Amino acid sequence: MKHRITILNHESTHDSIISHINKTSIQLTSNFTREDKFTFVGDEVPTIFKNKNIKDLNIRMGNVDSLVFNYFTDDLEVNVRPNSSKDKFFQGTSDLWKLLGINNDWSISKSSVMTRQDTSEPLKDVMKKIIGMDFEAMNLVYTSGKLIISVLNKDGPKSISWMDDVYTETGIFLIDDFEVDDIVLSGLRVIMDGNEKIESEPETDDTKFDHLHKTLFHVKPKFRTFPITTKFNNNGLHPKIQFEFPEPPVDDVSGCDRFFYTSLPKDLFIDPYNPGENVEIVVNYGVKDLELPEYSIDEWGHQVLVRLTEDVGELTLHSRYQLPNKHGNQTIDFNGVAFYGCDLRERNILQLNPFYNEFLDGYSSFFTNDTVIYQDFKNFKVDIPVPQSEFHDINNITLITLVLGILIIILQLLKPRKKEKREKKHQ
Amino acid sequence: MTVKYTDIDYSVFSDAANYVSQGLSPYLRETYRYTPLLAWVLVPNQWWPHFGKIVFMVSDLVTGYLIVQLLKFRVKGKQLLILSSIWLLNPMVITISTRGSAESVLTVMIMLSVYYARKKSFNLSAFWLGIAIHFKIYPIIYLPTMMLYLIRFGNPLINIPLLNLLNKQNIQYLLITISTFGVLNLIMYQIYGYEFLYHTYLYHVTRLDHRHNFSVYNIMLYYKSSITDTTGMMQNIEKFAFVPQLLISGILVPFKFGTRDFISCLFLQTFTFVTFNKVITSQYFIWFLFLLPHYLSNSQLIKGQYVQGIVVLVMWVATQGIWLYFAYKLEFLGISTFDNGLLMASCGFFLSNCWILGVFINDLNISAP
Repeated sequence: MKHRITILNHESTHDSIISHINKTSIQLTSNFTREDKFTFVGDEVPTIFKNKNIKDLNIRMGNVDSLVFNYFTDDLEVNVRPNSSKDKFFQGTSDLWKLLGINNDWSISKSSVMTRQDTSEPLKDVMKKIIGMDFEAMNLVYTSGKLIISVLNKDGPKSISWMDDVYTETGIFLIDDFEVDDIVLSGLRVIMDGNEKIESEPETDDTKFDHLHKTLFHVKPKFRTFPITTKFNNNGLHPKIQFEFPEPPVDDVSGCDRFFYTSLPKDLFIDPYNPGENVEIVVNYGVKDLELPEYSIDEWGHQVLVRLTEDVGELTLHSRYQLPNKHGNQTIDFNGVAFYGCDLRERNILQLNPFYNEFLDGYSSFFTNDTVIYQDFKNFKVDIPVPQSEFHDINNITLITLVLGILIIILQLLKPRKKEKREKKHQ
Repeated sequence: MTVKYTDIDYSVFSDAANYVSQGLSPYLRETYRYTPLLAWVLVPNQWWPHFGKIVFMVSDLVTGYLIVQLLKFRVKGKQLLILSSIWLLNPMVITISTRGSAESVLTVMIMLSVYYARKKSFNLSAFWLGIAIHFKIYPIIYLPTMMLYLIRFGNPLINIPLLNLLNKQNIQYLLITISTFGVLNLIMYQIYGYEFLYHTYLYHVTRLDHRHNFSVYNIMLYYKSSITDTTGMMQNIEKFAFVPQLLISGILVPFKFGTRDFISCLFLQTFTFVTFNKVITSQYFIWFLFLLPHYLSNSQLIKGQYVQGIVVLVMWVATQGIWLYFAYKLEFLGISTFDNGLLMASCGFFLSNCWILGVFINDLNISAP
C-alpha cells in the first residue's frame, strides 16, 4: 500500500509548521487542509471491493472548496462499470451496496451506471476501517485491480505516522503565487519507507533540513471558480432555471462554450424535444418515459448536460407526480453546475497536475482532457404539489358520482318515446 | 408565464414524420400514439414546418363544408348560417387546429362517412368509417348506429328477434368497414409490427393517465397508481370504466335513436363516450362538436326551450371554467388543488355533462322523427 499525504500550508512560509519529526512520524503545529491518498494494488485491495461483477467503480462524496484539490460532489455519487450482464450485476453486487448503505436504484450514464443519494454512514464506517481516519470529502476509484481512496479534510489531523510496510510520502505545500490559470506551489517532501534516515528534532531554519526535499510545482487548475448568474423560478409543475453568462474568461484559454450540468433526481425531468430557450441538450441519460410518476420509476434519475447557445437562456424542467402526503407538497433538492468549457491554448499541460483526482463519468468526462472548466455550483429547491387525502375517500366520491351520473342518463333513456305516447292518446 | 402557441403534439407529429421520411418507425418518437398514416401525411413538415397546420385547417373547412351540405337537408337561410357557424366560426375549433392538433383530419373522415350514408352511398360511407376507426379506434361505436340506420334499406334475412335486424345492406356495410379497417391495420402491422398495435390501440385501452385532465376518473387514478394493495371491484372501478361507457354510448343510445335520427344519435353517442372516458382533454370536445349543428337543427333547445338551451351551455362552460381555474393554480402556481379543487371540479363537470346528456336525450325523444 502507498500513502500519499498532501498538506496545504495556509501560512506565508513553511517556518515553524513542523513541531516534531522523526523516522516514523511528523507532528504539525496546526491543522491544515490535508489530502490523504491510499493506493492498494493486487492482494492489498480490501476483499469487499474485489467483486467479479464490477469492472470499474467510482464513489465520491463531499464538496470542499479548495484552490488545489477537486472535491466538489455535493451528496454522494456512485458510478460503476459492470463486468457482467444486467441481472448478474444487480444480483452479484446487492450485498456490497447494502454493506456500503448505497441505494440500489441505478440510471444509465455515459459508460457506467450511476446512483446518487444524500450521504451514507455505513460507507463512512467502512472507509474509516480501511484507511483509519474520518474525512469531509472522498473520491474512491477502483479500476484494473487497483484501488485508490483519496480523502480530504479542511482541518486535517496534525500528526502523520508511518505504518509498517507502508510507503508514506508527505508533501507540505504553500501557495507561492496564485493566478486563476497558474498556481505556484513551493513545498517540502518527506518519504517514510522504513529506510529513510529521519531523525533529530526539527530545526527552525528549513534550509538545514537535509532529510526534507524541497520541491516546486506549477499547477494548471482544470477546475476554476467563475461566477455565473442563475435564477430559479419554481413555476408550478414546470420549474425554470434562467442563466446569464458573463463574458467568457480569456486567461490561458480560448474557444469557450456555455454549459449547465445537473444530476436530476427522478422527481424531475427535461423534455428532450422542448428543453427551453437557447438551450441544446448534449447529454440526457436516465429515465426516458416522460409520463411516469416518480413512484413508478426504479431508476435513480437523470444526468443532464446542456449547452447554451446564447449568454442568456432558460432550461425548463418538469416535475413528475409524487406520492400523496399529508403536507400537500414534496420538496426536492438538487444541484447543478453552470460553467464555461474552454480549450487550453497550450495543450496537454493539464495532465501534469499531480493533485487532480480522476472521476468516472463525472461532468468533466464529457470533455477532452485539455478542457478547462470555469464553474459555479448551484443548489436548487423545488416544491412539488401533491394530493393530501386517502385513496378510499377519493374512490368513494368517484364511485358515488359515477352512479349518480349513470342514473341520470339511464332514467332519461328509459322514458318512452314521446310521439308514441301521443299516438296512443289519439287512439 | 409564456405558453407556446403550438401544441406539443404538433412537435410529436413532426418528429414522427421526420422518422418515417427516413424509413424509420414513427414510434421512435416518444409519446407518438397514432396511426403511422398521420406521420406519412405530415412528411412535408420537414421542409415546410407549417404544412401540417395547413392540412388541419383545410380539414376544418372540409368538415365545415360537409356540415353545411348535411344541414341543407333540414334547414336553410339564417338558421343554416347560424348552425354551420357553430363549427366554422368556432374559436375553439380554429384554435385547436392552428395550434397543431390533428382532430380535424378525423372529423373529415367521419363526416364523409355520414355524408355518404345520408346520400345513400353506403359502400363509400362504410369505407370512410373503416378509415376513421383505423385512425382512432373510438368511431367503432358508430357501427351499431349505422347498422340500425340501414335496417330501413332492406328486408330482414332471418325472422328471429334481434337477428331480424340484419339485412343484406347492413351486413355489407359491416363487412366493408371491417375490411377497410383490417386491411389498413394489416399493412401497418406488416411495416411496423407490434409497436403499431401497442401505441395506436392497446396503449389507449390500458392507459391509466394520472396527470390532471377533465375526467371524473382522473384524481382517483392518481391515488390508485400510488398504492399497490387494492382488492375487490369497488377499489378497481377503472377496470370496469368501459362498461357504462360502451353500454350507454355503443348500445343503449343507438338502440334508442339509431333508426330515428342517426346523425343526432352519433352526436349523443360521442358526447356520452367522452363524458365517461378515463382521459378527457379539450381536444376531445371536437369529437362531438362537429355533430352538434345537425343535432341542434331539429332541437327544441333552439326553438321553444331557449332558457334550457342557455342553461345547458352555461353549465357546460362554467363547470369547465371551474376545473380550469384549479388546474391553473396547480400547474402554474404550484398550489395543491388535487383534492378539494380538481376532484370536485371534475365530478361537477361529469355530473353536469350527464345532466346535459339527459336534456339532449329528452329533447331528441321529442324532436326525432
